[in-house]
Amino acid sequence: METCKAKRGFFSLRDCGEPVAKKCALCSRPMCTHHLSPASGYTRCLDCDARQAEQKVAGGTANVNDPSWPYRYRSSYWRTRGYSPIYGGYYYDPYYNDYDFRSFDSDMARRGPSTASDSGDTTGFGDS
Amino acid sequence: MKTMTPLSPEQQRLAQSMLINVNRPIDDVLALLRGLSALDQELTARRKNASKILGVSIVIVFIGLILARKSFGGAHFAHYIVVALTVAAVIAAIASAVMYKRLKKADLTDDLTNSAIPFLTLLREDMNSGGTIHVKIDLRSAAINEKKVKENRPKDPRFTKIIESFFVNPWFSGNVVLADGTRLDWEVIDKLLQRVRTKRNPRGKYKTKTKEKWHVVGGVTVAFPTKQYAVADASADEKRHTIKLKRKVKTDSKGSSAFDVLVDMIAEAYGGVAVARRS
Ligand SMILES: [Zn+2]
Ligand SMILES: [Zn+2]
Repeated sequence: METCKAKRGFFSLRDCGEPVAKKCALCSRPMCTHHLSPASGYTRCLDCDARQAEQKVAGGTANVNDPSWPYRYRSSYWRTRGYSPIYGGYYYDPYYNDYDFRSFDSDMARRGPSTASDSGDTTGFGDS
Repeated sequence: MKTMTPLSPEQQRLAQSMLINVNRPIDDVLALLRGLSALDQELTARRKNASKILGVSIVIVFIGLILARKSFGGAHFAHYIVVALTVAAVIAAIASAVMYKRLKKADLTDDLTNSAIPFLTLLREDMNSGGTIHVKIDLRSAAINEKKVKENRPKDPRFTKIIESFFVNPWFSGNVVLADGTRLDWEVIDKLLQRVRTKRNPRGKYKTKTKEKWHVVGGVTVAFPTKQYAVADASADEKRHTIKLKRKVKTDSKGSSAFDVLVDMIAEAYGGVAVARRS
């Protein structure tokens, strides 16, 4: 069964993993019902919705009851405050390349000796 | 008080007691708080209306009293209308003043809408679906007698009277175990210095000015499970690395200070750990 490719969380991230309802019209990632934005008529994912909205409104707590608010807020917070959320899941997704995630592998790469490798590690995040 | 916002019996009870202490699934907690926030916004709008009506009716009373002295060239009818309007304006002024006072008393802290709801909405993202959370919120104003810890009356020749009141308001706390196994405890204590200064101007009129200074003090304890996380400098037992942080924000108007300070502290705690193993 195909599962939702959204990553959930603010301080630490994990794979959503809920059953897929539809593909996002913008990024074509498969999404569950919770990760499709009601404001877009359930056509776009919350992350895409947040990225679009972010162009217009900055962070802050306006529209906090809108399901895409946490996604808008995290996107702006991670970027402006330089916060790197911890990622505890398994899937590398280039969709999130704009952010610097910390995962098991990237932490090992950071701490280990001479491991700034470019050995095609697909699960290491954001040390580029 | 009758309201437009549909409320559950529990929400009505909480709007009265203004004290929340629940341990429930996060979605239930948010639904409860969002209802109270909507109610508060409705009551605030009505309070503003009441104060407008009060202002307008006071003006009408003054104009009425001036006009009532005139004879209108013996036109009794016009005189009666002026008197009737003035009396109606007096009644409207009293009614709106009573309404304003009642609504003022029912006013919930803006921190609910500006800080508590955004904070819990964000935490929800880090929780397992259906996970429970313990939340305590005191929705009453910080400037109430029960929260006053000190009062000074400093002397200053430029003022007739100065009253400085200090209030301590521990209004927001709770704890939760997040999806990654991390246990979070948080607390926000607002400290308020309210300075009310009364001055007599050259025309002999008394004028009172109120100034407020806030210290928003946030504290978090973030206990990371040692299974997944490695921490360089934190007190640790077998199961958890514990990071405690405390921070103070000074401000004249609070806005979302409590939300900002809590999020920043938790982010800082997470920033200090490394991933030891996949969760
Ligand atoms: Zn998308
Ligand atoms: Zn999902």
